[in-house]
Amino acid sequence: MTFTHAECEELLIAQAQRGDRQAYGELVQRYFPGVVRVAYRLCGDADLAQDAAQEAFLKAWLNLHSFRAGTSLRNWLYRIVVNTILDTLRRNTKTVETALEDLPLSDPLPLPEEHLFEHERAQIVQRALLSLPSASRSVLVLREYGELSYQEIAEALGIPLGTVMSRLHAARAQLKRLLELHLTDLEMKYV
Amino acid sequence: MSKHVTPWLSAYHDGELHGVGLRRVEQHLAECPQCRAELEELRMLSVLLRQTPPAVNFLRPERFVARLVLQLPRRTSLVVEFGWWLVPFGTLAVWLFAQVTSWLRAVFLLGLDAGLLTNLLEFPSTSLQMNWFTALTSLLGNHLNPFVQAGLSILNNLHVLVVRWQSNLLFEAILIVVYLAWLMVCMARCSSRLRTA
Ligand SMILES: [Zn+2]
Repeated sequence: MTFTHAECEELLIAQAQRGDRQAYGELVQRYFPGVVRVAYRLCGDADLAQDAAQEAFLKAWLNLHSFRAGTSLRNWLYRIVVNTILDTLRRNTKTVETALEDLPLSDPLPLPEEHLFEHERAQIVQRALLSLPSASRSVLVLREYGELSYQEIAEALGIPLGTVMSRLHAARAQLKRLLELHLTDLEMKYV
Repeated sequence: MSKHVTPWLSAYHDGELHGVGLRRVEQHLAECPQCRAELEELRMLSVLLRQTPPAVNFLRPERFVARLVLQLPRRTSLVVEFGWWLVPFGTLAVWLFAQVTSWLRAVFLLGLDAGLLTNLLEFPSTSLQMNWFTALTSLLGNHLNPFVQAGLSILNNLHVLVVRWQSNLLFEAILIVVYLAWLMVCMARCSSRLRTA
């Protein structure tokens, strides 16, 4: 007998709710890449992102009994990790600034030219994301890296749908201006 | 030509426009090259954001999970948690109940002995008899003089008192042992929780 993805997930959640760590481990393995990606794009620091992911999965484990069956576990996890990251950033406002400074434009290791270009581009994109205000950054990251719908973003962040729309519009406009300055020559190489 | 739809392009690009709003943007896009170009820029921005890999490497999911599972604190169900807290409060309740009933019984027996309640209740006022006393009185009952009989009766009552006191003591000792055992398990649990935190 085979289960669909959703049925399998429901089964795993039910087992985890009864205290089955192995079942929870399987769910974590499924959602870790997405959760850590969202966390990293919000803070720009790999260690911080992994710590936040860990904290989020621990929080979710402890509150699993309050998770309602039929709702999206992924969205619930995203909501927890975004709040965890934003709390951390609020507690330590220097983090983003240091993360910005920690992004060197040239890598000390000699990389093949193609890699050098990739690496440079990755850093420029991340810097641009970090220079957005955290409110619009959260909305943009959940849309582009979490692939949430507007309704889901509104629920995750506890803001009205109209605010999601206007923040996303503002974030993209600002990001476009920032990246146009940096990416003109890169784009020429890339295309 | 209608007004530019710049504020709605982001939502259009995300497929979040419906009905009248969607039709208005589509109509405008068909006739406005400027808004079409802006939409194209939004598409390129999304592609750039999504296709640019992070500048760092993360743990492999299996390693992250292995590390996390070790740190998951044990989670107890509500029923177990309720049962757990029932132990100390239950012990206290049982002790209080035993105290109150034993005091009530003492008062009641005192009343019986004094003959106050015999008219009230159709109760025979026989006090408790130990086995040896019952045997002795049934064997020698008629041959004993009243003075010896009263002496034996006092001995019997003393014995009853000692037995009651002993069983009371044993009962309280059991309650104390249960409570101390609970306290020890509680401390062990707390220290293990601190270690995982
Ligand atoms: Zn237009």
